[in-house]
Amino acid sequence: MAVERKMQKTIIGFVPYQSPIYALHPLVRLVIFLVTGFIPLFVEIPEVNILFLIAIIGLFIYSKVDLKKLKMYMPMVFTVGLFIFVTYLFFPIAKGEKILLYQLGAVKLYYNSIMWATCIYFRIIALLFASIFYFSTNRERDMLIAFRSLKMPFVATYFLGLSLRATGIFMEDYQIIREAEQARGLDVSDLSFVGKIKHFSMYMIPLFTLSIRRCEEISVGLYSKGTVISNKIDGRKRPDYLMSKNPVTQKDIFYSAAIVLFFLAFCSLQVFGGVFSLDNSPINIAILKLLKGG
Amino acid sequence: MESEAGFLSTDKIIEVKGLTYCYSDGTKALEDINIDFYKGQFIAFIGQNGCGKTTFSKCLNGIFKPTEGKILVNGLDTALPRINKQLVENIGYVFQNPDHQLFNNSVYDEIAYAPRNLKLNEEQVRERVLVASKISGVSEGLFEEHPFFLVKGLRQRIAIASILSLKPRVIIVDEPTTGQDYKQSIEVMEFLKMLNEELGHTIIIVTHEMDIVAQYAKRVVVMNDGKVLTDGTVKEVFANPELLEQANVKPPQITRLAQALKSYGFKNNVISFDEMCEQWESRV
Repeated sequence: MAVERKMQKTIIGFVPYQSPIYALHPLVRLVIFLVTGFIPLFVEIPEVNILFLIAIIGLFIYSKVDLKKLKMYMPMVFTVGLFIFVTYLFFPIAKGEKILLYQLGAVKLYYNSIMWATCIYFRIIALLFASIFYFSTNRERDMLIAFRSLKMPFVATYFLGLSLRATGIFMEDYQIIREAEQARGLDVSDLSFVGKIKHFSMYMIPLFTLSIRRCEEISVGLYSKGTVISNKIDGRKRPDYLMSKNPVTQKDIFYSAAIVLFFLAFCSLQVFGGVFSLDNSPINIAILKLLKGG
Repeated sequence: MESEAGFLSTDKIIEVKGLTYCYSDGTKALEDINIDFYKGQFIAFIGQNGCGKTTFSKCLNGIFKPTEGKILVNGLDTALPRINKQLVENIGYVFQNPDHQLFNNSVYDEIAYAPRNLKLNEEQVRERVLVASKISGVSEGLFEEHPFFLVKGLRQRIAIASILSLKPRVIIVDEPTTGQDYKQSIEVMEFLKMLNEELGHTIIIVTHEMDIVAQYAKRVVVMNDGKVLTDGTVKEVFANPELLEQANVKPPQITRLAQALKSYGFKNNVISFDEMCEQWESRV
């Protein structure tokens, strides 16, 4: 049916049909992913990670990713927050000066612990969105091109390709099983939190059984096609269609190098100067000042 | 329209008004479908792969909510929030692959799963399990077995039993004969026929097998490109090969043979071997 489609279904999710980010070679996109995935680990200041998060959302918009798709990650964003804050509430850290904010029985709410929880939370959310951005702008094929451009062994990329495919099939089966449950009158919203967790374990029976059956089918399929897990055939290098269509140019190497250099410079600021330490957070400084009455 | 197909009945069970459905990637799978189904019909959805048959079926069942338009199943609007429990008592959906529908550790739990979702007490649940399993031909001796380790034909019966335990007025079965040999296919179809004729369930099947359609269905809905191309009795639909060609569907061989012999006075809507023999005998 002729329709105007903005998003394209991939094995893992959806990517835009057309996006300015596709002008970059998959290798450069992978480097961006790795860098954006590591940057938050070097940042303790929540404000910086929030700015980083805004920058990632800016990248989503620039890349024409349908922001409505991000709604599905919202429960994860809240759940992660809940777990982190509850953990730091019951197991406060010893780092920093202990300032008691509130006490309810044996449970003590320390400012330094809550601030550290905030720092960790925004760090994880920034990492999460950086990963979502990568998978929202790269098809499985792009990932394989990127890894082969990094000279990853053929066997490894082959298994990666199969794993990605398996993940997609697994998720599709999961979706169908949920529909089947719905068709039999299950309303998940009726279940308690514990009920939902117990219920989730039920999915494992059909999912793993289907996966095992599929694994066998794929193995037989590969065997019947005479697949050899090597990048050499009869002693000669196997022709690589993906790389022949997407060669790495000097421009791509330049972009990748520039991004890596920026990353190293950014990390140096924290490692050698502690620029992004929590002690330098303007909000943290202001609140501490307020709490100490200064 | 022939009355046996239930076309003349005013007892509507499903009303579809201006149904359009788009997938989350923006693909418009169904466009402006207007159709009604009546109680007691045996309906077949046919058309080439990707024409929207399964999507339409899932919309009827409330698994997919209409992007535009409305579907009323026994007066219930499928788009309403929290309508699922009421809806499944009116319309059941049997998936193409039974493995997607079996997720309990025993056959008994599998069939009991849906009634338990309706919050029935265990005695009522047991009663429904016994009735559904008896109708489906699942013996009580299998109740403690793990459904995954049974043969496919039996797994399919359990999948149907697990829907029958909801006592739905309409049962949709997606490709009931796929991957089954002739004997198993006939068994499944005879079973659906019994549900239709003896127990009064409205049956909707999604299929590519025209011989099965000719033999069992009373009404055929031909879909093409997300729309209903034509809708009528089996004879009406198969008598129009030019229209069917638009949907890349061919009538059964016996119908095509009769159509090829049209110049000798054969009717173009023959759908069974017996009918063909009758026409042959009248001419010899």
